[in-house]
Amino acid sequence: MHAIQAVQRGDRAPFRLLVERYHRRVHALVYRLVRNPADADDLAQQAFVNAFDAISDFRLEMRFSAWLYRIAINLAKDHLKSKKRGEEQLGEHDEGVAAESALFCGAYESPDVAPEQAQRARLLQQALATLSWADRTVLVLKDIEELPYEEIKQIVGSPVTALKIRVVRARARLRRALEAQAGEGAL
Amino acid sequence: MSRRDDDDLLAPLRAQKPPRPRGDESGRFVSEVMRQVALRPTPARAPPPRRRALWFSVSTIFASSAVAAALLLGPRAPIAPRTTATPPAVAAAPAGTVRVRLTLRAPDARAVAIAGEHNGWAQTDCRRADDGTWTVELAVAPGRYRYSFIVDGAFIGDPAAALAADDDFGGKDAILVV
Repeated sequence: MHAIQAVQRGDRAPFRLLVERYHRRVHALVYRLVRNPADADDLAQQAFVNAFDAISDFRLEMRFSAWLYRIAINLAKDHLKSKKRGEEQLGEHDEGVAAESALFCGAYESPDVAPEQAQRARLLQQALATLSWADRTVLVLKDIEELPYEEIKQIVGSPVTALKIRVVRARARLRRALEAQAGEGAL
Repeated sequence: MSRRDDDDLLAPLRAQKPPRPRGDESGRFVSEVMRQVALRPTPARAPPPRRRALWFSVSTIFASSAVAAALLLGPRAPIAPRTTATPPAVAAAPAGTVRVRLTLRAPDARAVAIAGEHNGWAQTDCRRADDGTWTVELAVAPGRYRYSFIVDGAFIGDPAAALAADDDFGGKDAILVV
């Protein structure tokens, strides 16, 4: 908290403490959303730069990580939108493929994961990519990052009860997407 | 598959460790951020807490009358111009509250509910009439509330609302001013 106040007073050196503390978490979150390590690097860096520029807007009653996550999520959203738009303009892909390629171009796979698990994770990622941005975001925050609802509330700005409803419904939609995938595979 | 199974659908993705930031081991990621930060102008000082502007209060009063009138007349009815009188109650409301009726025409919907700040975003089911209109009556204390109709599980805001605000999920919440 002292570091934030010092930066707000115009001392930029303590900002390093904030970057050191949060950069892995921000990077992991962005990576979960864009699924491209290089893009995650750029977006996570940009999130910190944007946070520095806007630090005077930060209110100490908020959780800093939630504020930072919100900046990072908005950047990831804009990035995927512009990437998809660019691919549509090139005319190389239809919408579905564009969305999928945005998620899998340069995708990273953890070396310790068994092939079946990796395949399962790929299918899940494909199903996740068919959901709306809002559904995908709440599922990444709740079911992958395992953040408490109170923190997600600060990140996305929705009340906890509404979030709980959204999470339940997003999980159901994910399950239906997986079932549809399995149906297509059986054809 | 049950709802309980849904809760852990994403376990395989959770088990996958994300890559570390480029150059993390050598501290290059942090250094690169700080290099970029050094090029930025010093952030503006935080402004003092703002007092609520008078125009906001005035517009709220006008919006309150118009929206409440619209709600009481139904979504298809035009908003009564320059209405300033207190709208009549739909039914007897508990002391300190105003009873409002919200309606949505959705003949093809299987289930319609409403959730909003008036009750902590708990869902309240709406009743369907024969003409495909769904209705709910709420007793709410005077104030300003975000709300949304939920049609077959989808939050759609309220297409008939005079006021709306971003819901941070790419959609809109309607705003009820009583």
